[in-house]
Order: sequence, then structure tokens, then C-alpha cells
Amino acid sequence: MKSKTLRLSLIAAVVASCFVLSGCISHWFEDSTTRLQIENRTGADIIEIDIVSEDERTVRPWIQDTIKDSSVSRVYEEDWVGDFKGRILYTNFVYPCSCGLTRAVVSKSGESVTSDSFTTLPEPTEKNCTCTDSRVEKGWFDISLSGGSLYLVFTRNPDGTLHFESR
Amino acid sequence: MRFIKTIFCLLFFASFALADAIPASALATGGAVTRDQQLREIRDIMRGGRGGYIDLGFNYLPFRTQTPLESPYGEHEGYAFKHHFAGFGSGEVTKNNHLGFLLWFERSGWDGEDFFFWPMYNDFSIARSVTTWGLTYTQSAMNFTMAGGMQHQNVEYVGDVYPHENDSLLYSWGLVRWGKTSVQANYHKAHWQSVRISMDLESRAIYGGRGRGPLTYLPNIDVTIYNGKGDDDSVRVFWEQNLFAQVLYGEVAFDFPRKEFHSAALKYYPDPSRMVAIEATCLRRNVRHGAKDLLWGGGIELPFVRFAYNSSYDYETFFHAKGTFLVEFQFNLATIDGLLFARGGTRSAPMETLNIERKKNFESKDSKGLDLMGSVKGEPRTLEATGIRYEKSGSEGGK
Repeated sequence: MKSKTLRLSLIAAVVASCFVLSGCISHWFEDSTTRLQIENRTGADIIEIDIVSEDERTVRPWIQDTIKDSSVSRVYEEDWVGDFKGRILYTNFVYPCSCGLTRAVVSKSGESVTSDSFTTLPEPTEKNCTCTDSRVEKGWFDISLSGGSLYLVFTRNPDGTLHFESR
Repeated sequence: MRFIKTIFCLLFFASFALADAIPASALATGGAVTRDQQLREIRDIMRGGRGGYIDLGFNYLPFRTQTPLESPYGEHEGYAFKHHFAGFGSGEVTKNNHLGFLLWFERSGWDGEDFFFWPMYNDFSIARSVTTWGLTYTQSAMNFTMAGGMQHQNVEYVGDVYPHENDSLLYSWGLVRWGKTSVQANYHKAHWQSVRISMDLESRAIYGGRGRGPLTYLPNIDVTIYNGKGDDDSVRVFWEQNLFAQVLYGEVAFDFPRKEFHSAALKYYPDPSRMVAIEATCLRRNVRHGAKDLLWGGGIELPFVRFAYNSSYDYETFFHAKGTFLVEFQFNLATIDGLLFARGGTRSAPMETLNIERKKNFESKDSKGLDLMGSVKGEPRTLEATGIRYEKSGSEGGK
């Protein structure tokens, strides 16, 4: 009789735990939204981060604020949990000058030269001369989100492509 | 034995990780599937047209990777859900005239969190309920049943990746049964949605037929015509065949006018009351040609729980969920003239005979049975306390 009671209570406990785990409890230890914060170390200004469809024809914006170079965004919470394709828009991309490719060039002293006077622009003589491209560039990345807080640091590879890692 | 257990456990957990995503399109058409399923279940219960029926169930998914949602954006982790209950009760108003009421309810969809009552309602959730109710009249001497009522399909929440759906759709349904033939129709306003003609020729002891013999080997056939709404109407023919002693059944469904195989199943019910079922199923998914189009699976149904993997029932009624073990806590029990059986059963459950035997055993002993608390009947229940500690109640709130 004792073993029967034990068995019954064991079955009851298993059934009860299934009930409990199935209803409204699992998100106590699983996040069902993703809270995203971005640190921008790309040398460009990030102006938008979106989730795009596989065919890149449908876009759902996630962050629509400008994150200036070397700054940290606020936290943006959205319902993205799973595997998705992201898109990043950035502008004012500053890079070491190899003149002849850019429209606007900024010299070390800060004097800007417009693209109209591009043809009269002299070849840079100093090594640390930088150029700024104010066109809007797009970059795509695949991202797997498991919910919860996510801190992404966007950096630039030596070849100029954007790269991100989570911290 | 241990090795087998380990293998089984590994397969079990691998199945969660390898689960296939459920398409948003399957969730969008879930309402029509549920309405048809509910009408099919009502048809089964109306084979007798009297007595009672109760059904309760919900799917249990421990991991949110089991039923990820496939939207244009990618794969969203979350939970498909299906909660359902049904009830039917009838009473004899005058001799042989039975009036009854039935109610079928299901709430199903997909959500980012698991829940019983309050979903998370995220951007990609969908939650829908389908309620079917009706009144029934049965003339048991003529073996005639008439039933009819309404079907309400309400979406309570639709996320961004689903097509627009009217949040309040109202359908009507009717059923007429005479003997073993029944006709069931479903309407939306004046437009017919489906017509099902059923011929349950198999002799069932539960409804006063034979318990064995050649008459139990007659087939149960139903033909359902679905309104194609401008396109060609489609017809599904369903054939259920007793293969051995009303415990082994074969089922096959064909689609017309495409003349295509739809699904097949081999089902073993250890008892003809169908409280327990073991099934192997095969379903054509219509996604691509060739052998890869077929989905093979199986399931075990016990009185309170059902385990299944790729079973055609789950693929069709649980938003094309596949590639993962599914657990459904469910219970259904039908009664007619005091006999108990599960939906679709052919003979009464053997529980009553067992009860009688047990009673006799107790009586044949020294007439001392055991009550629920474990004490011998007729003797006062005593409790001996050992090891009780007495503590002095302190001054600071010890009481």
C-alpha cells in the first residue's frame, strides 16, 4: 500500500510539474524578447539596424536612431527570438585617404573640400589624411538571437567590411 | 536494456533540436482545419446520438525549439499551442425521444511564451478560438438523429506575418443521421463550405450491433466535398476498415479530382473501446514529388496522454508540426446506456467487469476491505505519534 501511495504521488508530481512548466512558468528562466544595445566602433555613423526577410524585400526596423561613431546606443527591446537576417545602414564613413575615390575630403587641419573642387584637390602628402564618405552604405549579417540582453560591438575589419561581436 | 534507454533518450532530445519549423501559412489556415475536425468528431459522437461525451486536452511542449515559426524573416522560437475541450449530454424526454446539447471548443495558435490563459501576444503570435455548439434530437427506436447549431471562429490576436482574417466568423452546421448513414453540412451565411456523407457500415456492439462476425468487417466510408470558392471543389474520400477483430484497423484517404493519395494509417487498439491506441501513419504533404513527399510517423495514445512523432493527425491538426516528439495530455470518454468507451470505439471498456470481480474478491475474503486511507474497514483508525518534539514558545512571536 505504501509503495502504491508513493507511486501515485510520484505520478501526481510528474503531472503537476508538466502542468507548471507548460503554463506561464518557462519564461521565468527564458527570455521571450531580445533587448539589444549597440556599441559603435566602426568609424562611421550607424543610422539604422533592421531585420530583413530572406529575399531582402521586406524590412522591419529595429533601431532607427543614429548611433554616432564611438558611442553606445540605448537599449531597444523587440520580439525577435530565433535565427534572422539583419541589415545595418551607416554613413559618414571615415577612412585613410586614397584620393580619387571620394566626393568629400577632409584634411588633417579640418578644412573640408567639397566634391565640386575635387579635380583641383592635390594628392595627400601626409599619411594620416582621412576621407569621409557620406553616402549611405548597407551591410547584411546573419544573427541568431536566443532572447535576453544582447550587447553588440560593431567594428571594422582591415579590409573595410563591418564586423560585430557580442559581449 | 540500459543501452536501449540511452539511445532512446538521445533520440528523444535530438528530436527537439532537429524540429522543423511550422509555416505561417499553416497557422493562417488553422481555423478551417479545426472547424472540419470538430465536425468530424461530432459526426463520430452522433453515431449513437444519445448518452454523453467529454473531451479535454492540451499539447505540452517543454522546449520552444520544438515548434519554431517560419516567417519571411526567419525562424522564430516559440510555442504552438492547442487547448481543447468538448462535451455532449442528452436526456430521454419522452420514451425513445432524446434531446441533447453539445459544445466543442478549441483555442490554438502560436505564441512566444507558453501559457494556459494569457498569451504573450508578440509581433508574430496568432491566437484563435473555434467554438461549435448545437442541439440534438434522437429518436432511438427509429435510430434517427437530427442535430444542428453554429460555429464561431474568432481570432483574438493576429501578428504581422499572417494574412488578414475577419475576427468574427459565423458558420452554421447541420447533421442528419438515419441508421448508419449520415449527412453533415457546413455553411457560411448562404454559402456551403463542406458536405460530408458518411456510411458507417461496420457493426458496433456499443450501438446494439454485433460484437464479432462478418458484419464487423464492413467498411466505414465518408466522402467530404469542400467548396473550392471559385476553383474546383475538392473531394476527400476516407475509408476505415476493420482488419482483425475490431482491434486492428486500416485507414486510407484519397483526394479527388486530383486522384491522389492523401494519407494512410494502421491502427492497433488493444481493446475495442479504443481507450488505448498505437498507430503508424503515412501522409502526403504535397510539397514535392517522389518519396520525400511522404511523411512517416506514429503515435501511442493512452487514456490520459498521447505521444507522437510525425503522426499525420498532428501534422494536420497541429499546424504541420513535424520532426519532433509531441506530447498531448488528453482524455476523452463517451457513454451510451451506461457503457463507457472512447470516441470511435466499438465495444464498451472492460473497466466495469473488473470492478465487479474486485468486489467479489473482497467479499470472498473475510469481508474486510481496505478503505482509501489504507486502514482495515470496520476497525477504528488509530494514529500513533512517535518522535514529536515539544518546543517552548518563546516570548518573541514563537506562537
